[in-house]
Amino acid sequence: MFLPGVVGQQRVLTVSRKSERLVNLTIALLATKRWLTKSQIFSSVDGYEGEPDAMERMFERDKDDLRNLGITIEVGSFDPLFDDEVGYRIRPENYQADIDSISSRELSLISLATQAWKGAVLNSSALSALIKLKSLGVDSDVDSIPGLAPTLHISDSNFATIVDAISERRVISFNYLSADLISVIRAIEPYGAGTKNGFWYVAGRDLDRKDMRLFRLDRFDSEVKRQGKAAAYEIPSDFVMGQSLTHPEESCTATIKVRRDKAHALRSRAISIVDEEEWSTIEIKYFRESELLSDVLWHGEDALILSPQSARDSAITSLEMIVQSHD
Amino acid sequence: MTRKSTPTEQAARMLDLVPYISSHQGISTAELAAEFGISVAELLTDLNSLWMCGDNRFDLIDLQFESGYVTIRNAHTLNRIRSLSQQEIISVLIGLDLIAKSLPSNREDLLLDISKVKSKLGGEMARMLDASPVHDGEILSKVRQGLEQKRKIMITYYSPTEDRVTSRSVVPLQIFSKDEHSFLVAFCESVSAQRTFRIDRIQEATLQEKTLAASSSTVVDELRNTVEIAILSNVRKSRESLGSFVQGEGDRVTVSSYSAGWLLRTVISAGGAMKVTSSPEVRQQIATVAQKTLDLYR
Repeated sequence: MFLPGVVGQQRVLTVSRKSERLVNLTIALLATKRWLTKSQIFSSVDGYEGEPDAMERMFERDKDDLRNLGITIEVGSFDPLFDDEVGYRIRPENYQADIDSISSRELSLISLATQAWKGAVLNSSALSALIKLKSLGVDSDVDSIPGLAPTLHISDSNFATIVDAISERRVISFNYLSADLISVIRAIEPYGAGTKNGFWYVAGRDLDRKDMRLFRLDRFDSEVKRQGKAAAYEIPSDFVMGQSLTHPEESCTATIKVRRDKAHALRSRAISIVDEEEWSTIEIKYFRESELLSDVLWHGEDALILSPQSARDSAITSLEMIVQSHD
Repeated sequence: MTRKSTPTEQAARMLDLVPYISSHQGISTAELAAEFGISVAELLTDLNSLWMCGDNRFDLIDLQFESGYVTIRNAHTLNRIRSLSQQEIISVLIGLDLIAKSLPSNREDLLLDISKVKSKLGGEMARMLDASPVHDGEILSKVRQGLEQKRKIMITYYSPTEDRVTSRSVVPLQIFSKDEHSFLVAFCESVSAQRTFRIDRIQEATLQEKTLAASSSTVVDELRNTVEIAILSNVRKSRESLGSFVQGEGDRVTVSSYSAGWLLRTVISAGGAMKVTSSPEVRQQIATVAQKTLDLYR
């Protein structure tokens, strides 16, 4: 190889390594305006060496690797009427990101968004996304956004599998712990994923129960398996993950007696407060009676349920059980 | 940086280096390596490999980096930003949603920017994802600042175990995450001892003067109350309420906690689903509180 004017750096001729061959193949397929046949590729792209069979296998693996990177390689032939040798190419418009402009403030927000993944499961994806967007050459303007430190704690590798399945619309199955801690196989069409109060969820249509269900990731008892083909179902056009995570409306009202200057967690939820000498009477909204019960019992002698009667009765029964089992 | 990249990962990085260097001509190798999350040695390997690539033998990429600063020419074909993968888009969308829900209410301008970026990147995908913050981003940011700048922080803290809201001046020592939550380990000046605070329970934080010296630089593990518990019903819910302090499988567990008060409240709040089987004193305390509460009902 003749290389004029190179000083200091040296282009050392080595056996072309796989990564270089992949880059060279990408360049060749991107640069071509016409289909490139395998024989053209083998003769023009550095790195294809050896017996024809070995080169064939090499090329098949390289194609798979590039496709796994999200690069679309098209296959076609010169003349569809004849059984010509097929050719390959990468269309620049498929290879290239479809984002032409971004403001510096938008880039700062994206930069902050990717920082949230530090130490969490999608960190490397977030980092490579940021690199690509920074390549647009816009300077970020950090001073224009408030000092926030968003963090997403999720190290569960199931999450990456789940988001891939959602974007591919592919059925997943997994073992899930039931309320009595029994591991049960579930299969769903995943629609969306998200986090609330520090927990991570996936929402989807349960194939056995034939209805929408919400699953918490820390209750998964196995790795998530992807099943069947991509684009296996449609996500309803009115599906919004945020709605799946919205707590059901707290439609019931309880009356609670709380000690003065105590039970702050209940007081902060009060919709009405009547103060007396030693006690206050407050009203709070709740969704499930079992949740109301444990929220009030937490405060021991500082909070008593006055109504509804059923919750008051449960409180008394629970306390009797506790006394009995600890005496 | 913990493991060696696969050839495919290296190829992906080489493809992404080209447009990045093109828009950042003259960037230092140190800065470029940091941007890509790799060591300078790895970067030099990538650049050397990239330098060997080209359309054909006479049209190689012109890459200069021996001075410690990188420039690129003649990389026309590869000078394109690769389209983002679905996972990359999803990671950004989730992060953006989290920021949108953490912003102060007077920043509608940024909310608008976020929704613009979301539709530029994801369009359809955005509605499948949703992220709400566990704690106030501004508070965590202040706590981090305090730790980095060695400054005291005045915090207002709500403790459900003590059922109290207190104000205290603390010297931050460490931030850590466990399960779903972030915690601050700090030297609390009000009690002259080390304490652990859950960050989502810090209601307000104000940065104060620099500390002269860290009162205690070693973090002490203060788990000290250990009991055996039999779970009689609602096994999943009971185990979850005991959180990360629980050891053992199924319905027979050992629980170590920072505070006896927390344990007592957790067992009573389980409403009969948990039974402490080991420590007679703890059992007695639980029975007493339950009996007193029962007396109030009657």
